[in-house]
Amino acid sequence: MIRMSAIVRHGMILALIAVVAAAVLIAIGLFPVSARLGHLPGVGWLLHTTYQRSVDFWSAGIDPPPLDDPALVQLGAAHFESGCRACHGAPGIPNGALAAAMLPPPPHITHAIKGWDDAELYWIVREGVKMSGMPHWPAVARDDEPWALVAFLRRVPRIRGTEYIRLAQAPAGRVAELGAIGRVANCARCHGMDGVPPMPGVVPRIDGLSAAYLAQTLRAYAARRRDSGIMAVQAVGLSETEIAALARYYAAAPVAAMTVAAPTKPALVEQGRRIALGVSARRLPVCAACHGPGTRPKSPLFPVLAGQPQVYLARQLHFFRARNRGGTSHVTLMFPIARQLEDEDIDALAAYYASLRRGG
Amino acid sequence: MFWVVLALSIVVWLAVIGVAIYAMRRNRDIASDHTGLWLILGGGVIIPTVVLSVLLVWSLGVMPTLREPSRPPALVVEISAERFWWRVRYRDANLVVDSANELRLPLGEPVEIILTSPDVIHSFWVPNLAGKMDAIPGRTTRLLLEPERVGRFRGQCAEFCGTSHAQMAFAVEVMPRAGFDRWIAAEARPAVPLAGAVLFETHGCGACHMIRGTAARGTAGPDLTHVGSRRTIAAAALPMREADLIRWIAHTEDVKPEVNMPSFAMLPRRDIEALATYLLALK
Repeated sequence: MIRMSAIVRHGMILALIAVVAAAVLIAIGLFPVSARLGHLPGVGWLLHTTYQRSVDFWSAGIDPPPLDDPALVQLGAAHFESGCRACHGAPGIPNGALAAAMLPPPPHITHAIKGWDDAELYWIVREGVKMSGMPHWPAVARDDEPWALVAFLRRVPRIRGTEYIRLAQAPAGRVAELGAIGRVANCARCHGMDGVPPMPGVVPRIDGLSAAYLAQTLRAYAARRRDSGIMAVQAVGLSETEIAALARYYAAAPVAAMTVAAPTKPALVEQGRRIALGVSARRLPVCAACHGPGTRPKSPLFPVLAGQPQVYLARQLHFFRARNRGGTSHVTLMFPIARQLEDEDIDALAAYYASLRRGG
Repeated sequence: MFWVVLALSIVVWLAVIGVAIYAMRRNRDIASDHTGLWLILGGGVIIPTVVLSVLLVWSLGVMPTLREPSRPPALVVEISAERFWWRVRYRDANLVVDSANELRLPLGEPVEIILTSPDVIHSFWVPNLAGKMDAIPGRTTRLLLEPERVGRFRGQCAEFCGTSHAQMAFAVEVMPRAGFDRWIAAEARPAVPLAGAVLFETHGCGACHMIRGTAARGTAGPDLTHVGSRRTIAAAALPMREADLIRWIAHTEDVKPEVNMPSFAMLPRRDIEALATYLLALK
């Protein structure tokens, strides 16, 4: 008993000395946080193992959607180009010199994805990793968005030669024509040079929208009132001059007569058409009064909806219904309207407007 | 029927009193238990059951004729009580006229009010004219009115229907037949063409509101074809004045919490003023 209590007493004294020593070390600033020095032996292993076990544990139960849509892959690639390439390099392109000087150095993307399944990659992209420099997805309410990136990451091992450039970057020749508005290159990767996205079905088209609508929308993304990690990366930090120039550029783009795929469910489209024209019995407003189709003079702040991707339209209506959608000054008009829509109404309306040709 | 029931009641009353007097006078121990039992069963159970059953069946048969109006209604008004306003449709032999939040009635003529509701239970109540009548989703209720004097009255939703229940009122005006005829003929006409219609359309008002004769074809909200001739705004929440119209258009939620109409404060002030001027001119 006497021996035991002596051990306990000595142990407690040693622990106290350790705590005081650590406090002094921190208070004086003696501990070197230098990335150049690297970790103490064993610390790197400790952190990395914690990271791997944590991702494995917390990603359990995530159910990945289908990820083989080429448009989704391209959207992921375009966002990767803006948000990820600086640290992780890209297929056929090495990491930057700055990334190599980080601690831990971010692995090249072809290595970074090794050993992770879809759900785990999604979790890493959505949540980020503490103390590693890996950011979380910059939009909290957009759990749908990281899947595009995961779709691209799944493709990474099979990307050869210049395919990445083709996927992720705007046509170089046409960007050069526009020297003054260099930022258009970032927009055009997803929205095309004339507002028609090169990846149909997952990105909204922005041709035929007014400069006022586009500028207010960009400001909403920049101020984080409208939630999107993909758009936040582009819009935050744009100057007023750049916003105005971009809005003017796309507002001036001709409305493209993009062919619209024949609807797979004509009955759903017809149901959507009836709802869009107003259902008196259900006290539903006439969507067409503000959003077309039609040729009446409309406020420049009402977006034309014809030919928008069905998935995009449905998602926006769900956001409106949840009162969780920022945008132009007129955005609140949609809240009481969307409140009255059932899930089937949203599907039908999205199918209807997606089936319409833009520009008549 | 009244006289029959009265006569029968007198007979029963006399019989009961007679039996009571008889019972007080007669010697206590003459009636056997057997006779007593029969008296209680017969007089207390069998006779009342038979008499009341006959009266019930007979009165049920009379009821439908009692509920029929003495004269066929001169006018049918279909009113849909909706959160938080009144959709009004006048219907007579040769016309159908849509209006809202105001009820005009001809003096001294029977009018049938047909009540429905698309959302929750409301109650139609004009204290000066008649009792309350509920408007119930999925059912049709009726109320027969015959206003006896000319005047302006206030109607009110009398069944709690949501946050703005108290602001769900309407104006009633009882007018002589000639005046009513002139008014309803005017109400039936499309709106006077005015420049403001373009602004109304541009800002999307037509998605919910009908202004007959213009591109505004919405039916979700009140028909505004002759809104300028009404005495109140937003189901009697505000008087019909330009300043109040401007306030209503810009800040609907401040006037009526949880109203379906969104606030339009984001519009340029001059556009809101022009819209108010336009609506006031829709006489």
